[in-house]
Amino acid sequence: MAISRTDSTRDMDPFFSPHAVALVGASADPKKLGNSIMANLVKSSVRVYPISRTPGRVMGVETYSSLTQLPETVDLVIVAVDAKNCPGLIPDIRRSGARCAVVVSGGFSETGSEGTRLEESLVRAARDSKVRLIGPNCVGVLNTRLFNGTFTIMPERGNIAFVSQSGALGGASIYTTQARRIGLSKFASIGNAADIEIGEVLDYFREDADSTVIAVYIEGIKEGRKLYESLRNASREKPVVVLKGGRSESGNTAVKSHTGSLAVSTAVFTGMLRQAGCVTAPTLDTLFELCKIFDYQPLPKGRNVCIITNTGGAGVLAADAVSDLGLTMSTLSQKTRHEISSAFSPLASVDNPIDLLATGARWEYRVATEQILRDSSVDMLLEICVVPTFAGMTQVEHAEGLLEGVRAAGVQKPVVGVWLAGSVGKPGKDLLESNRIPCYDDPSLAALCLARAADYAQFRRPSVRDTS
Amino acid sequence: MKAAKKIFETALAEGRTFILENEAKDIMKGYGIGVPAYDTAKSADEAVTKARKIGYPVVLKILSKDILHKSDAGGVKVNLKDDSEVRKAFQEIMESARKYGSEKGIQVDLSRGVLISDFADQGTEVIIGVTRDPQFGHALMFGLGGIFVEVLKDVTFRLIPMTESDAREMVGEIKAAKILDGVRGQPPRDVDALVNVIMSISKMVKENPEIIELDCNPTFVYDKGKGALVVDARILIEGTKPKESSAH
Repeated sequence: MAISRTDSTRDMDPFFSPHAVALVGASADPKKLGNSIMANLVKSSVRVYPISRTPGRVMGVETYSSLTQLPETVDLVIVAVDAKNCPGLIPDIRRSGARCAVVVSGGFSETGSEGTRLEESLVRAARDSKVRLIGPNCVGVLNTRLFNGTFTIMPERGNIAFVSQSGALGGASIYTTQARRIGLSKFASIGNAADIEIGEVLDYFREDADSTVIAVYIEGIKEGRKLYESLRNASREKPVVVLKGGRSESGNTAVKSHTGSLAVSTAVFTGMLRQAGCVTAPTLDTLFELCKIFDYQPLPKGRNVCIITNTGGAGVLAADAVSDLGLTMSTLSQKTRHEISSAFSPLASVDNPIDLLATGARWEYRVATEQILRDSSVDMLLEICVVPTFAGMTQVEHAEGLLEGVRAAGVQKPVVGVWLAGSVGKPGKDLLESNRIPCYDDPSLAALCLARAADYAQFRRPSVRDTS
Repeated sequence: MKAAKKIFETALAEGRTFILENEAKDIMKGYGIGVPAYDTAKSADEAVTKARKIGYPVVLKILSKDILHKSDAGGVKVNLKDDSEVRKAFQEIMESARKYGSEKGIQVDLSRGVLISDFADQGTEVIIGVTRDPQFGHALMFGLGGIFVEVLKDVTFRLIPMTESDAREMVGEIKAAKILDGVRGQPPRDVDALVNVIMSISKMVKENPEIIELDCNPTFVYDKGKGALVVDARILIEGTKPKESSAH
């Protein structure tokens, strides 16, 4: 993808791709954040310079007493010292060669008026020295291909860029992605966003060739219009999946007429997200599941879904969810119906949902998958399997059949799985996911992901979108 | 649009931040938005002459810089079918307005008389509004009128300015969207005309950022090909010059 890079985003490169990093507040004390960050940095592929008042070594790396004593220029400084000492560090940060700093420390505007004043003086010092800031009060930044500048774990390497306003939630989400084996490319927790806000990080991720999808967690915002522009510009390049937390307080107290009273900011925010072409995640759980379908699968060409199942019940649930979400159940062509009915048991249903019955196994899944994907009335395929524990079937053969069918069909259409039966279904589920077929535990979540993919595909289709 | 600016200047000079209905409709017409035929009258005789020109039945509404909520002041009379009803309605409106003023302890200005408007045929009732959000600036709201907006809050927003596909998406995404397709044997509504009203409002507000709130409530949408009319229009403007940062 040829995305031209702008100067302002090039200026942010050191946040995500630094050559040499200084950590102010590096500590041997495991109770300190400066200890956890140091532990992550020494495991990274960047040169690290710990700054500490205690002479000697931290984790085997020689410490320096000041940023001005370093043997080479650094391009990123991470700060994890008391808030009151942060503003005074800025001139030294500039002298060290860095124009980018991440202030992890808390104790700023989130704590009250004194902290707010401290934050203001931090920002003023940064502007005077021409240093850009992420934070304060944040988890930090990381790039799974290079380094971990946070105090949380390194997520798996992948293609999802994630920007979070909440530090703790962002950090917790990284554990979630690891547990679900969802790979990230880059992560930034922007904390109080005293200088760099979500919009600028979005602009950066939009141009980032390593990221195919952007995940966003937003709470409150300061400059709504700028955020809107950034979201819209990013959505035109790659999917932006947004989870909005909290209802922003309606500052509009002067409600004089009808419209004003209905304009609770949440409703305006929701409309803004649609207008920007964003994909909305209703819950934290769905945020990364939605990212996954965009990362793993192509965009659908339309809204027609076919369901293949080996259990009538789950097929019904999926069909209900599909129509509830404004998708359409495909009407299969005569040819497809003929191919399937002549191949399978006369008891199998050749209407959508296709029911392969409990006896349907590897061969049935392969044939049905291939035939359905070739049918031009089908834009998306949702396959369900309750993995049976009888008749000598293996736990992964249905998944293998699906993958063979997808390969044989050789078409660009999104396919998702719903593999039920808990731990019995898990090996098949893992096999599908490692082959980039998103796999869910609930038909309604699968349908939600397909619906959002169809909505986003519609937004990206140039014929229906006028420029503004 | 210069005419709009002039209307806003007049309003501010009179110390009001709301725009009189005839003025609001003048602005709407200037943006190509359909409104029922209307005129103004300062006396009962003039009201009768104008009503005949518009054609019965008509609606009379008070026009005063001192009255924002016309119905509260007994300032609205609808479905007037002949000369005598118009004459009577005019007297009653003036009477009520004076009474409203004395209750509030103010001298209500009655020099502008009334607005006379064609009593529009009932169409599917929708509401189009504009608000200025503290974070996002001007946003346009769309929803179906009556209980849909009052009780169910079935409305949707977009930021101004917007594209035509944004407008079409809005119309399609409210929960009651099917009503516009035509239900219970009704033909489909004139969605194209509705989209045009939305786009014109967006343009109007973009060009006149001093508008802080606007309501086209109700707006009637008729059968496909038969258009849409803004039946009641209300515009509120900012008291002082808008700040540069306020929006676009």
